[in-house]
Amino acid sequence: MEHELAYGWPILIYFFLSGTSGGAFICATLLTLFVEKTEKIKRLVIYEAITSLIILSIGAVLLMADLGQPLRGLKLIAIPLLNPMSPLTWGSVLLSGNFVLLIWYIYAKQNDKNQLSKVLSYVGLVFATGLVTYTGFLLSVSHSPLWQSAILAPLFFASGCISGLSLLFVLNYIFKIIPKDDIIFSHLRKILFIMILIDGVILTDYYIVYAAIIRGHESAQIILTGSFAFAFWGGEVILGIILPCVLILSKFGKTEKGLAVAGLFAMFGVFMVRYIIIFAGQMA
Amino acid sequence: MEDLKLTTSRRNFLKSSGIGIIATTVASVAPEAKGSPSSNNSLKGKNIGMVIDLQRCTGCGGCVIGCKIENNVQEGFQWARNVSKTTGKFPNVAHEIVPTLCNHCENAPCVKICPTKAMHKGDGGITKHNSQACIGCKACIGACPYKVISYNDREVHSFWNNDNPLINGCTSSAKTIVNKTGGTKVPYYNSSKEGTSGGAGVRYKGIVEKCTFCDHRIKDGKLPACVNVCPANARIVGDLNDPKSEVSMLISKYRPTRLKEHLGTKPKVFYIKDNNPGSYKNTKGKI
Repeated sequence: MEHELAYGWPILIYFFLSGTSGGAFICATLLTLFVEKTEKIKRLVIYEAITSLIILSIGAVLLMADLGQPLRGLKLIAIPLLNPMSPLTWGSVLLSGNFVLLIWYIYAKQNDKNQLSKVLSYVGLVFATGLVTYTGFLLSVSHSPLWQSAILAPLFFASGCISGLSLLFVLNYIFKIIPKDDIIFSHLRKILFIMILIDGVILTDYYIVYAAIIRGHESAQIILTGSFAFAFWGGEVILGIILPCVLILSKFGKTEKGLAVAGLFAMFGVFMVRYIIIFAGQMA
Repeated sequence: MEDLKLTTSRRNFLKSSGIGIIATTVASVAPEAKGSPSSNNSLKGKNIGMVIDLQRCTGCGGCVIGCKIENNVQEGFQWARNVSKTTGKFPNVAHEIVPTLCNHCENAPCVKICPTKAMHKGDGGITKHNSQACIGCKACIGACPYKVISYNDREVHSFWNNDNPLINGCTSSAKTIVNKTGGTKVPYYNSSKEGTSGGAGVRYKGIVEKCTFCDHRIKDGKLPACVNVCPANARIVGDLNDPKSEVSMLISKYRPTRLKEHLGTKPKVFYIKDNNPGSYKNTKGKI
């Protein structure tokens, strides 16, 4: 029936931006906690956190704009956990929490408050993980048969982390922070490659093929062979998985620019995953 | 160049920003505090459900229209509808019409997912919606497996605000008709819906809406509009907690089905098929 589309373009973009923001915050905190503290790492982490904050702000504006009664939406911040059973209530807590933590984190890093940075990194890791995951969980308790799977939450988590890590490489290239010869660069490159394979092939593609063929979900069949087939095969599989993987493995992928390009394609793949799952899921 | 002097300290700036945010948030919460939907005391302890006899139902659509008239449902929207399904291959073809409405599920996913508790369970086990608390997030639409919730994406009844006649100097405009009939916003304004979970006889943009089981009628012991108008008495309503009610007896006598039972929503609209006409009392039930 018309007038029944629950999640439209603003929500789709918010899902992507919140995933990227959360993934970026996760990357920043992990670098803070487990990597040797150098000036270059500090700079990269601060840029990653600032970009995460900007992206989250844009996402929050889109989220509010999508509400039919945006001013009433502020109620969710004023009265936290109004309905603890609802993933949206938790989402508003996570969104506000991430916002505050990012600002605090940037302040701590900028002013070399190492102990505070460490504490905020641990707390931020929890909140960012929640932010990235809750959207997948929200879909998994909704009506579409395609969404009703426990795999959606880890799928969104993994794709959010890919997006965050890809953003790191883009920022690294723009601001020329860590050179390609650095061992950290090499490690992160391999991590991105493995994550694209795990999320893209095992979590996303296998699930969609399974849902379409074994479970016979109409929306999954629309993705594989119907109106969303071009977006899936062309957008997600080729541009979002195969191309970034090939780039990462190539000689070009061992350079700062190459990895940034691979990262952009990987981010595009993450966006396409959300596009096909959210829109195709509402088609049937 | 002169240095710019800050007129306020960072601490004062943060303090005033915080106060501003809190004030805006309180203002957004305050309107809801003014009026809350009335409690249907006559329904306390009851669990209202409905039985629809698919054999008696002729698919006339009277329930669809009756609901629209009673609830001022706007053009393009339906709170009750008939879902028709044709299966099989000629000559073994079956055509089925299933009247659907909100099932007022006992395990309602829309209630669970609503972040502001605008969707809530009320007296009589009715899934009610407080339009004053709704933020229009549409999560309930995503959660409902029956597609019975709709979102007012434009001004409701905007047609009746139109002051442009079809033919100037000849026909009346819609707004003229409203004024002449002494109405408020629409000629068929239903004042009995005021103060119920719908919140108003005429509703507004930016919120979701759905079947309320005519809570403005059942609180006074009247039947829902769709039950009332059915010419075939195919819809029977009653208290599922009362083993002697018509609905309870029909459920125990026949083998009813419910829509998408496997999802665990426990819908309270039961479908039966009485292939022996007259094998139960011709009734619409009782609240």
